Amino acid sequence: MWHDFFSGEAFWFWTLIIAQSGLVMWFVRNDSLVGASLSVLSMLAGLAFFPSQSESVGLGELHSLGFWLFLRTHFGAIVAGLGSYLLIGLAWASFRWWLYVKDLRHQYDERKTDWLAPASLLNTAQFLRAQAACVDDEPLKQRYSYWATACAEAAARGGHVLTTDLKPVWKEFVEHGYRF
Amino acid sequence: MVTGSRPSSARHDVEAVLKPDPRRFAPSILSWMICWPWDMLWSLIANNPVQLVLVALATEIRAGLDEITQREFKAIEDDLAVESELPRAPIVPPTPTLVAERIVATVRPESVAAPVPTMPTQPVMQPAMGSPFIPATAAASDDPWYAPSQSTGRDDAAPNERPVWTPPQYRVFGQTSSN
Repeated sequence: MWHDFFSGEAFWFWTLIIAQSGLVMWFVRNDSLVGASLSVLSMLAGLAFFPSQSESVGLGELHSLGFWLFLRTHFGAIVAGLGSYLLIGLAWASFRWWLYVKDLRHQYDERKTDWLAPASLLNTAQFLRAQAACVDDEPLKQRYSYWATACAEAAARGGHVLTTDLKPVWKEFVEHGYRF
Repeated sequence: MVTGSRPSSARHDVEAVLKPDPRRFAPSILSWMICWPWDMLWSLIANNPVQLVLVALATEIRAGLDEITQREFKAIEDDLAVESELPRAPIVPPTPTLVAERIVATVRPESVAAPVPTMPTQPVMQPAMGSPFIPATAAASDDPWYAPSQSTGRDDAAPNERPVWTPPQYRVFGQTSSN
């Protein structure tokens, strides 16, 4: 029974579909347009090796007519299908972009909230004070001292508010990839 | 959450804080567009975008409702807005005397209603006419605030004559009391 199952065309057909789908997902996740496109094309080409399975994906006529005659017969439907596919893809890509930007915004808000917590502000103040003690450049030393005082005062006031004094410190923190 | 690029890389950390440019993300966007069934499948499995959409929808609806409320209540808030708060009366800490008075007022309210007569320690001296504390013009006028005390009587009144109390005439700028 298992021998029949594994030697059957259906098993390898669906194995190809699942494996290729996994590959496409991996390429898309890793921003590889070429890899993803090639995987899709190779999956479509791979279907030709399983003529008995064409019926199960709705392409039984392709097997009986042949590729070119099938293309000529259903040209309008193929173009419409392709256009619809790309239109849905465009809508999905826009939605996906919205998700991506929203995620960035969410990450920013979370990090800002964490940074403005009194404990975090005190840590930042201590770090900046230590930095001020280490550097030789006088303007930089003054700037770090001023920022340390601003952070300590903000922590004493309870934090959670991005005041005008804290904005340059936060900007520096953000522009260094959320670290000093 | 959904991330388009490698979230673990340092490059992503730095880029995440910059405003993303769609032109720079063209390969990613094209791959989302071409391979949308697989991307959609993965997003549904791994990232639950449905929840994100519902939360965003709820936030938008809440913001819309807040805006409606703000618009409708703007006139009311304008009416109730004051330039500056009047200074509040200072809160007097309860002294033992005050507490005792309150207790007496609670137990015997009639005793509080009538003022308790007090004996002055020294006779009350009324300022004489022409006193340096009273302006000459005011002293010469009929202003009851500067007139000799009703209880002592007027200068020209007989000693046993009952004094007649006349209400003070409040003056308003630009008006006389007869108006």
